[in-house]
Amino acid sequence: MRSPKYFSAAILLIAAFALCPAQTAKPLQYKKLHYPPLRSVQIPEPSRFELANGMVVYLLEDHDFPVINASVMVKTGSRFEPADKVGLASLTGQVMRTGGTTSRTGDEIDEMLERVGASVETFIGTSSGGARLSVLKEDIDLGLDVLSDVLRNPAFGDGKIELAKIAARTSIARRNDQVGAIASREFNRLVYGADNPYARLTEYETIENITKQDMVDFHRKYFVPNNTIIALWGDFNTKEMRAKVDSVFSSWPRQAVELPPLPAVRKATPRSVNFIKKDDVNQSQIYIGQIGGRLDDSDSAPLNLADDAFGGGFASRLFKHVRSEQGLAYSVFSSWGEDYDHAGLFRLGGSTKSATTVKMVQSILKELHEVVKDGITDDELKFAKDSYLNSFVFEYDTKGKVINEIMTLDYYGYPKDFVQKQQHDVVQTTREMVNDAIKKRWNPDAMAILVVGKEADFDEALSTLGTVRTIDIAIPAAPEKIPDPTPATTGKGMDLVKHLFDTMGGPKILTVKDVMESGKVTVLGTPMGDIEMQSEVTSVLPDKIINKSSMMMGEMTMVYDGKNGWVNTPMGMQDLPASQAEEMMKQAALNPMNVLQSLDKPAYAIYYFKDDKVDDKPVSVVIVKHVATGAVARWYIDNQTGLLAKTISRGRTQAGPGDIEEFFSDYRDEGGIKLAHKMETFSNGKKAIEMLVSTVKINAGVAAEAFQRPKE
Amino acid sequence: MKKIFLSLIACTSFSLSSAQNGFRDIEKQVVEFSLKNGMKFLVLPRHEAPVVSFHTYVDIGAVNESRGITGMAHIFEHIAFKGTTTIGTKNYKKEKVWLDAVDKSWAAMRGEETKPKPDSARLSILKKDFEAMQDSASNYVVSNEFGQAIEQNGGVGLNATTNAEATQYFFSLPSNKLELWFSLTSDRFVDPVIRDFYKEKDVVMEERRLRTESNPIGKLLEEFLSVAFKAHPYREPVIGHMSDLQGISRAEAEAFYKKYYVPSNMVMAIVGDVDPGEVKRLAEVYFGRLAPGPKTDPVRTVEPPQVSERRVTLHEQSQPILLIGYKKGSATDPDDAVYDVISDLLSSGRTSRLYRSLVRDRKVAVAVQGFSGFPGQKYPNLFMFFAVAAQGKTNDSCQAAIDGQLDSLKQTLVSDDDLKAVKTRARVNLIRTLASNSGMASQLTFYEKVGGGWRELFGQLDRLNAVTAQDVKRVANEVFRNSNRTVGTIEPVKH
Repeated sequence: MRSPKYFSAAILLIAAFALCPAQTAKPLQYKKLHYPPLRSVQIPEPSRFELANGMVVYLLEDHDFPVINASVMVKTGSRFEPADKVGLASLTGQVMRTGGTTSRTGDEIDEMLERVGASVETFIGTSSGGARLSVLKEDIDLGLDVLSDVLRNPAFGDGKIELAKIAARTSIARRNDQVGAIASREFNRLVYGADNPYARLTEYETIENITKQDMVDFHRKYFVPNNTIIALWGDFNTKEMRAKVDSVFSSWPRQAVELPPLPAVRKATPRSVNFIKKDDVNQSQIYIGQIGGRLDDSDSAPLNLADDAFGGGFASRLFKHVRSEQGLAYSVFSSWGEDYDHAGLFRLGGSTKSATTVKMVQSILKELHEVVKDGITDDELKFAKDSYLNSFVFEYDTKGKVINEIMTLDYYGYPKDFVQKQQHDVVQTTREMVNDAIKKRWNPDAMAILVVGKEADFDEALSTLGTVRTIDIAIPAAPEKIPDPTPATTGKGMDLVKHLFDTMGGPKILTVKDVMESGKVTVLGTPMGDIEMQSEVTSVLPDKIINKSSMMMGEMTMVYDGKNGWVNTPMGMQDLPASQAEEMMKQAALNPMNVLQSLDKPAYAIYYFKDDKVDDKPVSVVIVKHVATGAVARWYIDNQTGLLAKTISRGRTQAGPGDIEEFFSDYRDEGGIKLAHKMETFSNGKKAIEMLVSTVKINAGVAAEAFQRPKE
Repeated sequence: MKKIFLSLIACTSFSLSSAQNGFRDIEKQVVEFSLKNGMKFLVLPRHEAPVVSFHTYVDIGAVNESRGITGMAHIFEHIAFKGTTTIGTKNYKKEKVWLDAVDKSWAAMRGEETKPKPDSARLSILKKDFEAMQDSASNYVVSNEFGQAIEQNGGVGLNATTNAEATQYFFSLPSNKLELWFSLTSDRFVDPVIRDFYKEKDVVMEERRLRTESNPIGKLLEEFLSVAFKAHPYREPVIGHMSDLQGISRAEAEAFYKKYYVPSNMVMAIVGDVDPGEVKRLAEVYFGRLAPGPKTDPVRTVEPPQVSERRVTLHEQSQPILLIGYKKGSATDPDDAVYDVISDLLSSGRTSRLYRSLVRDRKVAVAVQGFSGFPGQKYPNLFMFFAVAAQGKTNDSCQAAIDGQLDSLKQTLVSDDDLKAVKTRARVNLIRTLASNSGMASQLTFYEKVGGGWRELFGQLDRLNAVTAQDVKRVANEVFRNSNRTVGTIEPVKH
């Protein structure tokens, strides 16, 4: 007979066992393991408040170590800088800190901080700007004081602008040294578009264009309290820290901010095969991809799970099939890129020895086609979900991660429980949702492909993948430094140009209304090789241009009416983008005929620059600046013939802004005016176009209708 | 719940009154034990979040390789992800038959390939045979199951690295999965199966092309070390020579593993939300299985004193790069703390001497660093400098400026203020290291095997505080001599 007393003791014992995880006495293979549930975690909640001036403050105590950290986010970014001053945001972000403030030099700040092992750094990235602070708790007053000072009162002094410019120029000079960096950068440009603010490059010219005043203005425009969030975490008492922050930052005056609209991102990527030649490597870098998504897209969770299964880690298809099973690559990956407020990039790729380049591209494309066609499996989905959900605890394992996440969500106007919502979405995602999303969003037939490597050693010609476009990555040279005019150089310059006027035809020039030149044009180094065409170029002074060309695929007409331009081809009508129309306007303004007709008007600043040589013949170089547009040309006037041997102007080249050189020769008399019949255009030092003129007509007249934009 | 949370914080928090005491408090919380087979464990419980970081330090690296098998330590690091007799296979018994067949057919192919005049017809038959055997073996492989098991259970930061003197494996898990680490990590070393071996060698060859052959700086580093060391194996590339990678057999990999992957060569650090008692119990259950083996002796070859300056220059499609290395003592050299002080004075931050001279004032460089301990620290090594010349500036102008700063260290005593700042920064840096579970785990193992015992992680501050201005001057004069250095440069060629 069992006594009730023993019975209850037994129950207690069983209960106690049930509470403890089973104790392993012998080793178990991992599949046989059972885990206790994860200890529930209380995610610490930072306190949030707003100062009277609109600055948002987050605070979170963390007493593990006697350290205090801060992050600051300011709504700004390089995406707001002008296209001719790329680099402005980054330079401003650096020199705010290094160039000192109105009360301390940058060197003094360096000393103050580094003596106590503290750091304050400022920066401006693509989509945000800000600062970081890290100090021992006993130095927090010093830290906050410096932080506030560099955010509010930067002086951009001490020659630190020049120092930052040296660093920027050095990065430009070094940007083709590492094959991985070349591939990644050029792939961004392929997908976003070379001039898009999310992909465009800093160039020598854009660095030269940046002045101290530009930095002062850029800073003043965005660094205001009502455009700023600060997060502090570390060994402090919230109430005391709140008082400190208030006393340091509340005197920062509120100011209206107008944020420019965000740059547009194209929705789709045209299919293209692109090649960059790099003959000193034995391994090719490969990128394949398209525009990605945004974090708040409704199919974000399915796409991220798909990406994880496809190319995310050890278990992914690409890693298994391309790396482990074929041994083709050390690095192979896919990455569905998302940003908070604009589309990221979807990138697949890796690197493989030159002799397996095409094989690798085809392997990745094959996997991609398969996953789009058949989707991922239940096992793959389960794996991707488990990985995400089981590692979720690492989103919150430090106070620093918690507070920075919340600040970032606030910055982009996301709900503060966004990460929980993501987690919820992942739990709810089904295989159908994943496979639908893949079909809808991944377009293997509309992706850019980029290969950087040594072509001679490739297994097959890249052209097996499609028509190959070669990208020139030569770094555009810095623009020549042009001095300002003096009375002496202005006098000499005018004399030289008047002599040119006389040599070319004298008063006869003033009677010219239009010039039609026709002949053979050769465009060199296109994806289809050198292309020959018959062209007829008509300039209607002062600023209209018609260019008719006929080639194998048909007739192409480009018209610029002085304001807008369009191109009509067998493939259809297209307006010239604004940037190209502006380029046309500058070209027209610098047309020598135009300049020579305006010598008695103040439309141009003309002055002597220097002596030089063209093809070993001595020349005098004259600066011609169109006052209204700021467009500048350098005219190389042959000292012997008195005719133009060459002009140089700045313009868009394939590799970015660069020098456009035009050589003139074979001068012949056309109705009393001497005109060149051979023109060769060099872009960044490489010959790009040659025109051999066979017929010239002056004042033949052009009908007004020629400048009417035809209907589609 | 919240209350428990707070009390846990209280017991791990750093003493506020004095950082020095704070370090001692943390040192006291480290639990240290060894298994009978000689494997050492270091455990630091930290309960802020339910996560734990693991660091496996194997005291074996490229210096333990012999001629003909350079790259082996690193290849084995890759192989350690390939699984066991029960992980990564559909049927090991059947797989094993094919694995042996692959080896035989590889040996036949290799035999023909390495003949002075290989018979190309025969070679192509042997190649086909080898590929067919590999394909058959692959039919039994479950690709990457090992890594997948970690990722699926929420593991993060999964990776491994091999350097000149150690192979390290690490990742972090949610703390309820503690036993998973024990199970997988012990299995990986108790029962490893070397599968997909020849394909993984292809992967490693791609890694070599990526990091060394197609990368100007990687190329320079390899050439530089081969010149700086003439006898000690620090001169050999960790990734291995291409011909060795091609020639290494599976049997050689197995022999390497058996000889070196013994418990006495390993130390494990576990930092995070764990109970040290539970860790000890699991350690005995899982790692007690490893058979003991003799601890590997230190490398016999000692680099002889350098008698004259050495130089290596590469002409590359790259802007200039400058490396300078001066021979110095190991991590256990009595002057180790002095090297650290010199490194801080020369290159920590914008107030450092090299930054001010080369970047700020002379504007010859955009980045410059001087640091102690390359390519390893266990044996006498190099005090290294590197400089990235500014656009249009030369390596020579950078080197002249570095020389100027070294001369000043040799001639003038460092000021008390400067020395005090170095010591303050060292204290702050240590606090920052301690704040991360994975960083802490890595540091504990490093100090245990290389730095004279894990307690030196905390003791380093005492040694640093004892460094005087005279020490700095003396050591600068001993080390920074032209005959004691190697200079490596990249000079640009026109594209």
